[in-house]
Amino acid sequence: MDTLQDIVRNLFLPLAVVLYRLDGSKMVWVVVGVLLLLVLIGFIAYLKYIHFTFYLDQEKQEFVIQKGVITKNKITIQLDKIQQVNINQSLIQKLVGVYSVDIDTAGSNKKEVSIRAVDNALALHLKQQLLSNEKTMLSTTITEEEAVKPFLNIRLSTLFKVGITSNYGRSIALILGFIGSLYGSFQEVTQTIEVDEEQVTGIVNQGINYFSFSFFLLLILVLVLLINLVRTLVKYYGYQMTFQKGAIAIQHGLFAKKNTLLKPLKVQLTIVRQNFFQRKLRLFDVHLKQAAATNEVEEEGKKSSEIEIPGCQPDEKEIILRQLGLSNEPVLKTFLPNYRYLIKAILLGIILPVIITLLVALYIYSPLHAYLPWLGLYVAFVMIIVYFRFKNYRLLVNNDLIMIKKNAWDVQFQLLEAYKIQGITTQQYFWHQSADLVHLTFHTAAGDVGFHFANYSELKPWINYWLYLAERSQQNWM
Amino acid sequence: MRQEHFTNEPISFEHLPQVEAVSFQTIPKQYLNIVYINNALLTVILGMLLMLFTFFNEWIRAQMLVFGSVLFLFIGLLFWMSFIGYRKKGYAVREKDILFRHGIISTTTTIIPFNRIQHVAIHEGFFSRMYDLSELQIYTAGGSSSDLHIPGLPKEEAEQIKTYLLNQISSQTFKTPEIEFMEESIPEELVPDESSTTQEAASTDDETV
Repeated sequence: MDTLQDIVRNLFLPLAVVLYRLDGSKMVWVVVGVLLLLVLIGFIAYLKYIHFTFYLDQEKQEFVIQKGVITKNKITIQLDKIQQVNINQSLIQKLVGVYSVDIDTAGSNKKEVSIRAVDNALALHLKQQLLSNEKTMLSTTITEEEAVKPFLNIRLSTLFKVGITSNYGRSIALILGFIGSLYGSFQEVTQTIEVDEEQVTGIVNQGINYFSFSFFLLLILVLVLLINLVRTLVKYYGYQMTFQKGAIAIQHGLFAKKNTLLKPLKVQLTIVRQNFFQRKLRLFDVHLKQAAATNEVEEEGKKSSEIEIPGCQPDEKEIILRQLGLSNEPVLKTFLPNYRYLIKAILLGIILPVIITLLVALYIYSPLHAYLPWLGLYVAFVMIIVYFRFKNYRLLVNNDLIMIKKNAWDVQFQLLEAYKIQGITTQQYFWHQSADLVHLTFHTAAGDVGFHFANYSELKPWINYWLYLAERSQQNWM
Repeated sequence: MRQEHFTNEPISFEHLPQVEAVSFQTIPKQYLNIVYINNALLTVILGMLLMLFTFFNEWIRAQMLVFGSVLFLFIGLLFWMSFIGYRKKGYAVREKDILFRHGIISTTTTIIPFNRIQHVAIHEGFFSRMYDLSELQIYTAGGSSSDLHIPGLPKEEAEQIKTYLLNQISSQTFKTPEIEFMEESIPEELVPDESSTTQEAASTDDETV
């Protein structure tokens, strides 16, 4: 299956080009070649299939996978190192009635082990076995699963709301990427097929002239909303969250069913997000981050070990957080950033860009003069953002939780259990010494979380306390 | 709740060991020599580049004085920065964690608890070996930003610290309390009853797909 997909994907484009270039007389050879290729693929796939075995070593608590036709591969995973098991079903797999099981461990950002084509009962069985590392837990039957009532069900209307209120940035990036790749492939096509390029560009230019700029913007806006909506609906249709024997099970997806099971202990960082619209609708967006090989917490893309819960109500959010072991004790201390935060933000976000633009307009590129009034708009816009960022930026702490609130639009809380930190870094610039300021960074297994421009003297006892929590703790941090 | 003997007495911050009271140990003087050797090498390379340019480029030959002084200033700054960077470097090994301080225009202090260390390595550079110095590298699960690289330690001391750290790591016995903790917090109606029929364990049959 896999082999076929790979080869088809790699060969498709050249093949298409060859087909286009060839005349009819050589067609027979192409057909024969394709048939031969298919047979070869089938043979390789069969060999791969019969050499792929896996089993569970109950005594050593290990999961062993053997694969490889010529070079033999044996992968052994200790059960307690597994942090997430995914059961996915793509459209093709749905037709055949099989699932793929992905096993995720810490330390690598790609899925370490993937078992394709398992039937339903086996998939569920595997999932249960792999994530229950207590021996007594192995005795439960699969049928129980259906009896457990899901505690979180995201309704279609909620998904609709989520779709139109969130992830604008991601969709815009998607559109830009799409346009970019469309343009790229368009050029490729014109080059390979040798279409009269000038003619086509002429048509395109004319097309652009028909649309006015504002209409184009409106179109983009509608497109963003539409893509968001469709993406959210397809991805999260039928979102269900269940607690099963100490683990959280999540399933969602319209076409490709995704089924995830994770242990709450493995969650290193919880992010609760809410933008302005979502606040009005009383919806939260919760992200669970697990140990990953990336540095930056906010890095998008490498999402293999991130779980998203789109759109949950305040009470549901509370249950999830409680289930993760995040206490809801009252906040003991709130740290606010120093006013120098504003100085830095204004310096970097307003003064520097404005000066550069002015210099460029005056000395290098004079046509820019016409656009200078827009600079006022830019300054106002950045001012508003900086103000809200500053207003929202704070560090909240209680006995065992560290909370960082940040951002202007997508206001997020980064929640982190203090005993799970990997280390603490403080950074102090010499011009901050007299002001008693420090930049604080918590290193977690899911990435770094920082709070800048904090009062050092007030922070010191808390740093000692967090270290005390981490060093005293006999619990596994994952 | 999370541990069998869980206590939760209020902790007074004054009685906690204080990070700010730690006195850092400095890096031996020879390390500065190594940094200077590296700087000198860079100086030689840059100087040679400038020489080459003055030979082959008319314009640069005319501006020789400007380029020369810029290079001189740059080298001076480099040595000065290296010295400050050396003076700022310091480390401290406490009972349960290790601290490293460094930086030039800022002072960065990183603290890594022993029980978060994944592995420890010792790296010896070419020049370091001449002075019998080595770099202690401490890795955590927190990614490269939280890894400690303490340079310029005398080789024996680095080995000693490494052994000490490894002993500390291996002596820790972890319990796995997560399951009991979870079951307590699940609402009762959601907990499936445990007295269900036992099933044959799956390990015995090698499942082939």
